[in-house]
Amino acid sequence: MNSDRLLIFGIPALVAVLVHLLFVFALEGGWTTASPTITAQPQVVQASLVSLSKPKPQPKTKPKPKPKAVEPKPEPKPAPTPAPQVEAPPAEPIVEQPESTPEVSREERLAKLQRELMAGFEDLPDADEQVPNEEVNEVQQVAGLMQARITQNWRRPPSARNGMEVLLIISLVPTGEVVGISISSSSGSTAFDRSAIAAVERVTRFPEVTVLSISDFERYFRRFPLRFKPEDLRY
Amino acid sequence: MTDELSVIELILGASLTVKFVMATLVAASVTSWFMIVQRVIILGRANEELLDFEDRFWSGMDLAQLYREGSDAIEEGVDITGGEALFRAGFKEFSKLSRQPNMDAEAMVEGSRRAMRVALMRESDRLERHLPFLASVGSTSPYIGLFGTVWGIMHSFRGLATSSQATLAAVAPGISEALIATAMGLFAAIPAVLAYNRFAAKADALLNRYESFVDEFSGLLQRQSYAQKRGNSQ
Repeated sequence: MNSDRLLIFGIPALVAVLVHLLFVFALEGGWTTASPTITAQPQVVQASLVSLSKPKPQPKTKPKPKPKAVEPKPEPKPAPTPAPQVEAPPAEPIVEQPESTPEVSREERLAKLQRELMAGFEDLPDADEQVPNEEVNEVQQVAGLMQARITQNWRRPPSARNGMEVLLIISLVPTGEVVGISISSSSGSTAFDRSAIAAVERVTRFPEVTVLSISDFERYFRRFPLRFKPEDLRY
Repeated sequence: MTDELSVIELILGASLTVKFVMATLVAASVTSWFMIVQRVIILGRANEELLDFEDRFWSGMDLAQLYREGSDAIEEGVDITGGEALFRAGFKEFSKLSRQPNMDAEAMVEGSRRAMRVALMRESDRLERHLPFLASVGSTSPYIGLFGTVWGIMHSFRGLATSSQATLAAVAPGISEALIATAMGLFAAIPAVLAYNRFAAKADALLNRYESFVDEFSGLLQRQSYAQKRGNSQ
């Protein structure tokens, strides 16, 4: 009765182990794919300024990363959404005339700034915890690059306050050109709204999206909401 | 994928108590799945055997012949269970009693019925084995999981009390990790409860059919014993 014994004990044991292995496998693989809310997240590119992590001795300096300074970053991580909140306290009032910075010291300040910016990114261990899988990782990276680009081009009016928020709907074509900007929900301040639109207009083109597959582009960046929300201001 | 919270990492990072709870639940889950599949096989087979045996029994075949076939099968090493085991127990007892001189017909039927009842008990034991375990897993594993969760949350909040910065990020991994225990408890409990209900009903139905077979068969034996008695007295 060897075969019978095998049938009564072997098959159940095999099935029981298989069921659990399958479950663990599904959990490991499906933990991320089964959460569409996370994949939806990169659709909103938060253009909140990534502030510096350390209190600056000179209160007048305006953190204003130039494209030149930010580009050499090897792999700019998707800018963390929680970043502004985390680093809010030491942030500087950026509304104080940014352009008044003396031109001479700018180069070295930028270098220092970049280092600090990088350090700030490294200090955020939870920043990309929500990156679900490779595809979304890529999308989020692109979103991060776009965010950095917009952030660089955003000049906030002096009337900008914490808690203001404008949501733009941006339309792109697959080459990255901006073909449409519309205000989805206004902040209430015309100057603030206009500064947001101007930031996107100044960018004119997002070359980052060309690396994405066309299906990813259609899914995430054909029309996407863009939120401008300063949270690092003191008032 | 390195920067996301993987479930495995969460489990490995859990405290000893939570790990112990999780291990218990995994063991309970694996065992209950083992029993579920085993029950499926055994109950399905018992059902088939009974149908098959009833077909043979009511085919009008000589009962002594049927008994002999069963004996041959036993010699070949086949385990005889289900309806045929009942039939063999009853028939064996009846033929033994009928060989006794001056045997009362009533006592013969009563004796074979008793033998069949014993066999029936054995069958019900066989069919319902392990079902109490499934019931226990179904009813207790959510509590065990809940215990793990409460314990884990307790600890992550205690950690929060000592840390200077009370952030969500400080407690979230701990809570997430603790909740896995509840998820595991439910994962073990739900199939066990479903299986218990289903198998209990199935085993009940089978036992009912066995019982009605016992009744039918003892009716048959009764008829035969009275006929025999009348033949003897004439």
